[in-house]
Amino acid sequence: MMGSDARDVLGLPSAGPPKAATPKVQKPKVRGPTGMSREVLDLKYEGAPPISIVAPKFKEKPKLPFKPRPWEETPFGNSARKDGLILRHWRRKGDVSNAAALPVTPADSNTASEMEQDEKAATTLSDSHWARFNVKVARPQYTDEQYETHLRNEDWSKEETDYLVDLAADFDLRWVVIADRYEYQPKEQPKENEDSMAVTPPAKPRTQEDMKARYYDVAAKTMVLHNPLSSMSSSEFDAHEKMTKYDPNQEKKRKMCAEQLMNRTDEEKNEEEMLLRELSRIVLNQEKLFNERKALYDRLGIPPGVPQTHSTAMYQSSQGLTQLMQNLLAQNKSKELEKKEKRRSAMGAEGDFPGGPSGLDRGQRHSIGGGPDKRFSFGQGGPRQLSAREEQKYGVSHPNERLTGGVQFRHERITKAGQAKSGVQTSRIGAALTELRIPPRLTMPTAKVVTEYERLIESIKTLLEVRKLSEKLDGEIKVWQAQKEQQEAKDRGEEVKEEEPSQAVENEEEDETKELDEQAERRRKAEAEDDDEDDEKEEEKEDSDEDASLKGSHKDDEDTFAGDQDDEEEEEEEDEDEEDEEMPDEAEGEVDDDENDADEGNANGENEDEGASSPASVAHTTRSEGLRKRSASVISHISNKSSKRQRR
Amino acid sequence: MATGQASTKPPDANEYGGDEISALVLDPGYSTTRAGFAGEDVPKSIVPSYYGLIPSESTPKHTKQLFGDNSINIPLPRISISNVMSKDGTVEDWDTAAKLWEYAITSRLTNTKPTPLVSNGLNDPNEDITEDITMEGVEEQEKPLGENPLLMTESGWNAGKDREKGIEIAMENWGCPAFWLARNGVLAAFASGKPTALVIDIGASTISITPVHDGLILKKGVTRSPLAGNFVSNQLRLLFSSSQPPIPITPHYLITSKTPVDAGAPAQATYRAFAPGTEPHPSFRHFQEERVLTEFKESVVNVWTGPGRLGGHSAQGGTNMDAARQHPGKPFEMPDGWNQMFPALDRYRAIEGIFDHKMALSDANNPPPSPGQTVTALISSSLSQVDVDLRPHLLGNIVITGASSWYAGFTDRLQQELQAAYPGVRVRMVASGQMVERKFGSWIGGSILASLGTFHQLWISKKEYDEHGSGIVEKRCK
Ligand SMILES: Nc1ncnc2c1ncn2[C@@H]1O[C@H](COP(=O)(O)OP(=O)(O)OP(=O)(O)O)[C@@H](O)[C@H]1O
Ligand SMILES: [Mg+2]
Repeated sequence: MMGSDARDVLGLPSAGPPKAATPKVQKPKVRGPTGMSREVLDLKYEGAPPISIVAPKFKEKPKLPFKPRPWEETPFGNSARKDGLILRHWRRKGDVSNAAALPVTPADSNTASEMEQDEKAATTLSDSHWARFNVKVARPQYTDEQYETHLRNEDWSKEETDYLVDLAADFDLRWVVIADRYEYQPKEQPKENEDSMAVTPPAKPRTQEDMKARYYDVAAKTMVLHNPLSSMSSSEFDAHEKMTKYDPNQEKKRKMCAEQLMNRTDEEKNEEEMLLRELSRIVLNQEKLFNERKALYDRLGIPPGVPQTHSTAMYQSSQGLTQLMQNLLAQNKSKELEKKEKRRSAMGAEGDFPGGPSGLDRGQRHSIGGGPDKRFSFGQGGPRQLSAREEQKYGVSHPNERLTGGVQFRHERITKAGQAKSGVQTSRIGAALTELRIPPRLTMPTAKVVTEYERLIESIKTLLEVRKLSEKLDGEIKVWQAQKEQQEAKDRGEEVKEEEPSQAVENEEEDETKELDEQAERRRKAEAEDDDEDDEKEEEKEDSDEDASLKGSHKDDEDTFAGDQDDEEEEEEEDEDEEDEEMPDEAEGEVDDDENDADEGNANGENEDEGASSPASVAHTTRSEGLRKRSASVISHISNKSSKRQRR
Repeated sequence: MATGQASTKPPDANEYGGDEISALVLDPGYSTTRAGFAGEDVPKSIVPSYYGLIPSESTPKHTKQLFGDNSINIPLPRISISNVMSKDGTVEDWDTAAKLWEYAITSRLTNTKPTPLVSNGLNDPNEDITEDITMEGVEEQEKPLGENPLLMTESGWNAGKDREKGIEIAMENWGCPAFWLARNGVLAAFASGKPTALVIDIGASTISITPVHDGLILKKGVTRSPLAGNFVSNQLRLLFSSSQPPIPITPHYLITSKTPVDAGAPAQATYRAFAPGTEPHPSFRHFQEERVLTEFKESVVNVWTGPGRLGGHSAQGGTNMDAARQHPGKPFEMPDGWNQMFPALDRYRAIEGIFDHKMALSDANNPPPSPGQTVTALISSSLSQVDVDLRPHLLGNIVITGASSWYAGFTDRLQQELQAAYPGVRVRMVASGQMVERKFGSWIGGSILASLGTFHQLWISKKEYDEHGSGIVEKRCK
């Protein structure tokens, strides 16, 4: 019940005397948090005023046992700044610990509050505690003269060098950033006249390595200029050493490798890990495996055809293993044995890892590659999409036409390539290959290598053909020569002019030349070397004949035909490659030609004595030597190429 | 007593390197502009970057501009909504932006009076106040930020003259003693305590990838695309309009009352009617819809976390879409009371376009995204522009920021995608589990930077500005 209600009931005047009541009120009771609600209190203290009016009183100030120290907004300067910017931060008034931490400027830092707005104020203020963290790299200093004498570089103008050095200083030698922000634009050349466009040499693309190389070069040289090597401290010397040893190409290569490493696919990564694990396992268990294998051999009894040695070396190669397996199969051993065999074959493949492309080897690889394949690969369900790189790696091709030959193994292609129609030819090819130091079994028969190998073999075949021809021609020439000499001797004896034979030859040849088709013409040009023209023509005649016959014979042997064409093209290519070198040769060839004419002239006009007898024979020897030289050069060229391919 | 003393004692400056100078940090974004004092852990003032425009009836040339959440959400007669930022994430309307920012700063942070109402254009300028009088007034008036250095943020691709506008406003209009312009990618990396990081910022208008090396962005590696918050909103709109029957988005302001209905039943609500000629502009409705959609995004949308993409196949051979259908749905109630259980597939579908361009919904107004615009593609194209040696390091320090990265499962999914794209590298994400840190990442980084003692020497002072002009920004804020 409220006090006012009570009063209403009693009929007391409503303008009750709250003031009068006030003194009665026990302040602490009202104020104190008794935990009772007002209504309850009202009941307890009857006649309590309806509203207690309490003079507002604030909470007393707490008596603190320490003197409060006010904070104040203190302005401060920063010696790392040149513009005297004054900032303010809150500091305890007269905080000594803080002031002590600051490197106090000559003037007393505590007078800071009386700072003025002028420049000097900054120096009288406390310096920022942080100013000392302002460190900069030393910029290599050089004068124009020094630049001219020591630092010149065709690739870098002075302006660009300056730009680079400034940028390097700006970004504190963070090369990644420097390379990112490098935007050097060569200055526009002053225009000569109104019409001409402003000639701006295009900005050279600079890689980070180029920049580093140039900067280190400049920095190292200026370092020496300012401080000769002899008086350098060891740390300086080290820095100098490092800068001079920087090799941009090495860096580029390293980055390329790093990129490849990063772009490995999951499969590649797993395969690599797997191989490494396998390898370490094999290395660890080698001894045990050898013993096991030996025990197995002993148990099996030595298969026939295998020499009775306990050495297992011969099974280390895949060839040996294939043989062994065949033997074993022939003996119709049980399945279990086969299994063990396979495991061993895996071993063997590991033993000479880059071992030939044998089927076993392949199987092993497949099983390794197959493992991770089964795992779910992210991004695609179903068959995995191969990237271009992977397609290349796995030799996936998308032929437009249907493949005629069906499925083929690369090793089949290799062996087929090495075989010629005749056994002699085959052995010659083999000899050429050994000369080029190319193993009959390629170490890394990737798709690329195999195609190159085939091309090489084709070239070798042509080469052999050409060689044979030239030998034949040489022989013929000798015969003619002999005849001619005979004739001349006869002529001298009879004083009768006899030109017919050579003339006849000439005519004949000319006629044939006309018949040569365009391709042959091209070829002649390409092949015109220090060899005798005659040789060439003869050859060409034959070649073109051959072509014609091939065409005529309904392309019964398309492969060879195509191969020939390929060859020609390749030879042409090679010739083009060598054009520079051949220019003088060609000239010589022409000279030779002239000489030949002259020979005939001699033969016609002058008498010939035995001493000078052999311009022709001399020519012949030079010719054959030339041929030899040429074939040697072709061989070396091819071998160079092929070794490059091999390496690739 | 002892504790009382400890609380008043400043932390040892040597410990954290802080030395506060009551600097302000301003971080404008497409959806909101964040402002606050450096050294604090969240911005005190968060103002929408949208502003209201009310055309004055007497003089159609004059429009009244409204700023702040409290005024732009009221359907005033003929109100229209614009944004000071462009779809690019850069400032579009500098004059209005300056006013909006000033509002953001002065309304909550500084007790200095804003520039006189007459000159700031906040009120109706149809009174006949002669120009010269107001000009005098401005001269005498204290500039609003005379005491506070200002750190402003910008996007990584902001370039040219746009970089100079900020300092002009700060120095000329506001009288700041010092100014700095920082890239928001760098700041987000700082907020995660990383000087070197690959920052993935998914805001409202843009998703951007910023490689940061030692506190400096690598400009050539900055990539971006519009597949961010607004894109997801549009995906939701497409999803709603293509569902059977179409789901209308009715914003709050249109509802006067509603009664609860069962799931899927038509809404029973009374709608507000506007007198002819006083209807808000369609842009107002669009803005209000956006608020509903943000709510929807917050509570319903989820990222498909694999394995594989939503459009792909699972290891068992079925499609992931089928798998997703088995997942539980989530209910959502529209402002008009209409509600439904949203199936899981829809919940995943709305955002899948950010990862897989093929899964994005499209129509005439929303062209399908290109394959190069997805997060993964953006990241790889960004990385390809960066030095090889740095790439693994960046992949190991991926910082995720921006409110649109807050979808459940976003980080896991990105981790999966990146690990699949770079199997040879360890991919590690840094994504704060705190909503505010994700939302205000770049502001927080700015707050840290501007309160560092070592930062004092970097500020561009008023004096330097007077000496060199606004071009100094390009030279100093690299
Ligand atoms: N909890 C949430 N879940 C998902 N999305 C959200 C959430 N909260 C807000 N969003 C969306 O995030 C976007 C805003 O993000 P943020 O604030 O990072 O952008 P901003 O920085 O203003 O824009 P920008 O970076 O493009 O300039 C809006 O599109 C909003 O719808
Ligand atoms: Mg943002």
